[in-house]
Amino acid sequence: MDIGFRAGQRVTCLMTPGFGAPRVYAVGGATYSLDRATAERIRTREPSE
Amino acid sequence: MKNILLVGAPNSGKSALFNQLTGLSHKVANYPGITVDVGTGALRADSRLTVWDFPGTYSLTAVSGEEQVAIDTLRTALKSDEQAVVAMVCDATRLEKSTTYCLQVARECAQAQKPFLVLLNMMDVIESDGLDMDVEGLSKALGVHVLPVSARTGQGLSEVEAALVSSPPEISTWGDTPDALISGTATQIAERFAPKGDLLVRRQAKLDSWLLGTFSGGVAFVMIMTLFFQAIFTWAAPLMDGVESIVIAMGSLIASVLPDGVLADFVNDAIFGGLGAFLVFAPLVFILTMIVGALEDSGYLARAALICHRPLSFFGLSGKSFVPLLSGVACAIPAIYAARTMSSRQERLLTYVAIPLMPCSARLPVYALLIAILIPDETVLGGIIGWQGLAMSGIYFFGIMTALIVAAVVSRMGDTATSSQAFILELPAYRMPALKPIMSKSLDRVVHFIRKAGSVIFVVTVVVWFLGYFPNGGEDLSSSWLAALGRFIEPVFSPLGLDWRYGVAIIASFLAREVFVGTLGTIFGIESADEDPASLADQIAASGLTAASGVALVVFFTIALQCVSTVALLAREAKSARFAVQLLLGYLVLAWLVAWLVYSVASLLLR
Repeated sequence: MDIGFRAGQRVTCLMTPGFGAPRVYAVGGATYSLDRATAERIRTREPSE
Repeated sequence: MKNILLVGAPNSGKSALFNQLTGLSHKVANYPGITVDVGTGALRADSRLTVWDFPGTYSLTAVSGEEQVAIDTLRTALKSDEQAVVAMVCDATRLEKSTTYCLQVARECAQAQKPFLVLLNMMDVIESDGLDMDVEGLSKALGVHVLPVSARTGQGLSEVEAALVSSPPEISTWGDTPDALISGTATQIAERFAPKGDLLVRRQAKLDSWLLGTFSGGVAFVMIMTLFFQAIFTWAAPLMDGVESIVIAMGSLIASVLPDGVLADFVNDAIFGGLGAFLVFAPLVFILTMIVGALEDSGYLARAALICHRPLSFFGLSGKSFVPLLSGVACAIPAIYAARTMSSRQERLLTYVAIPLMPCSARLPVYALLIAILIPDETVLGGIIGWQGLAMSGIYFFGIMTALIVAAVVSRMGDTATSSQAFILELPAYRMPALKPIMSKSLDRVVHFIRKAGSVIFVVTVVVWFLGYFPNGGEDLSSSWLAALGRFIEPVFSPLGLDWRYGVAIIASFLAREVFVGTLGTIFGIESADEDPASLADQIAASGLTAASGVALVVFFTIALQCVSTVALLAREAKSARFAVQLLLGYLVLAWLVAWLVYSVASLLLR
C-alpha cells in the first residue's frame, strides 16, 4: 500500500487526537492517521541527524 | 465500443468526474473508499464511448477486496482486444499520493499498448488558494498528456471530453521501467510539481486541532450528532404535515365523487389509508439523506471515524466500521457495500452483525408514527428542543447501543476481535458541501424509497384490504377473514399487549419494515370507514394502544431484521447463507424477548 511513506520523505506528526485516537501524520501533501503498531513499522530519523 | 477507464487513488474525485462525464449519479463522498465496485456509463459527449469508474487504490498492490476487484478488472481490460483509454485521476492538491501509482499504471498501459493520460482534478482548489501548478512541465516529466479539470465546478470538462472523443492520447514510454526507477522518479516528480507550501495541510490542521481535540472534539461530535437527529424530525415535520394534508384532502375529494360501494371503500382504505400513510414519511428520508450527504461531503466523517476508533475498539469494532455503521442509519444496503473497504474478513463480518441494528430509514416511518402516538408535540428551551425529537434521538441511541453491545458480545464469543488489525485512515481536506448534488441525491433516494417499498406496500395493502373487507363488505372488521387469520397469530404478540391487528402488520413488515405503516393504515381505514378522515396516528391513539405496548413495538422494530433485501445481500457479501439466516432468526428471537421484557417492566411502572 503506497500512501507516500517513502525513503527520504519528510513525515510530520501533526497531532495526537483526543479519545485515545491514533496520531495524525502529514506526509507529502496528504494527512493520514496511523495506529501505533503500524506507525512503529516505519523507520524515521530527526532531520538534523 | 471504446472504453475509458477512470482509475486513481481513493478520494481523488473519480466518481464525481464519472458523474460529470456520464450524467449519472454514482455515490460520491469526501471520504476515502466510497466506491466499492466498478461502475459504467455512456460518455455524455459521445454515447459510443463507455466510461468505467474504478474503486480507488493507492498502488497496484491490493490490500482489500474492493482494491483487488479494481486491479483485476483493470488488468483484464488492458489485456482485452477492445479499445481502451486509461485516464488516471490525480488530486492536484495531494499529488504526492498519486505519482507512484500513476507511473505503475502508465507502465502497464505501455506494455499493453493502450493509450494513457492524466486528469489533474481539483484545480479549482489550487486556483482559489493561489497555488502554482506547472501542468505543462508535469506533462513533459510524465511523458503523457495531462489535462487540468475540476469535477466539482466542471472547469476543463469540455477539454477532457474533446480529448477523449476526438484526439485519443498517445501510448506512454514507461513500458520497460523497473520498479526502483518508478519509485525514484515518482518522488522526484512529486517534489518538483506538487503545490508548494503547506497551506492546505496547515488550514486542515487548524480545524483538526479543534474537531479532534479531547474536549472540543467531543463537544463537536455530540453537537453534530444531536443536530443530526433533531434535524431529521424537526425539519421534516412541516413537509410531512404538508404531504399528510394533501393525502387526506385528496382522499376526501375522491370519496365525495365516487358512489358508495366497494370501489369507494377500496380507494379510501387501501389507496389513501395504506399507501397514503406510507407516503407521509417520504420527507423524512429526504431530510435524512440530505444531512448524511452534507456530512459526507464536508470531510468530517473521517474525523468522526478517527475519534470513534478507540471507543469502537472496546466493542470489538474499529474506526473503519464507523462509516458503514453511519451509512446504516440511511439504509443497510449501502452500509453493507461500504464494509467492503475493510481488509479483514473478521472485521467485515462483525460490522455486518452490527449494521442491521442501526436505525435505518425504513424504521423511521414506524418510529415517527409511534412517537406521534406516544409523545406530546411540545417543545422546551424556547422551542429549540422538541420532546418528539428527543424521543427520536433516544430511540436512535438505543438502536446504536444495541448494535455495539451485540458486536461486543459476538467479538468476545469468537475470533472476531479487530483491535489487532492495522488502522490507516486518510483524512481528506475539508470543504463546503455542494448543495446541488446533495439535493439531487436526496431526491433520487426518495424516489428509490417510494418505488422499492411502494410496490411491496401496494400489493400487501391490496391483500390486507381484501381480507379485511370481506366477507361482510367492510361492515365489521372483527369478523373478517383478516381477523380470523390475525387471531391465529395473536398468541405470539399478546404477551407484548398487542392484538391481532398489530400482529398482522408485524408479519407483513418482514417483507420491508415500511409495510407496517401501510398495513395499519389499511386496517384502521376499514375500521373507521364512516368516520371523518384523520391521521393514522390519531386513529391508533383513539383505539387505545397502551404506552407499554407502544414502547414494546419500538423495541421490537429496533432489533428485528425485517428486510428481505438486507438478508439476501448479507448472504452474498458474507458468502454464507447460514450467517444471514442466523442473524435473521437470532434478531427475531432477541427482538421478541427484549420487547417482552420492556413491556413487562413498563406495564408495572405505568400502572
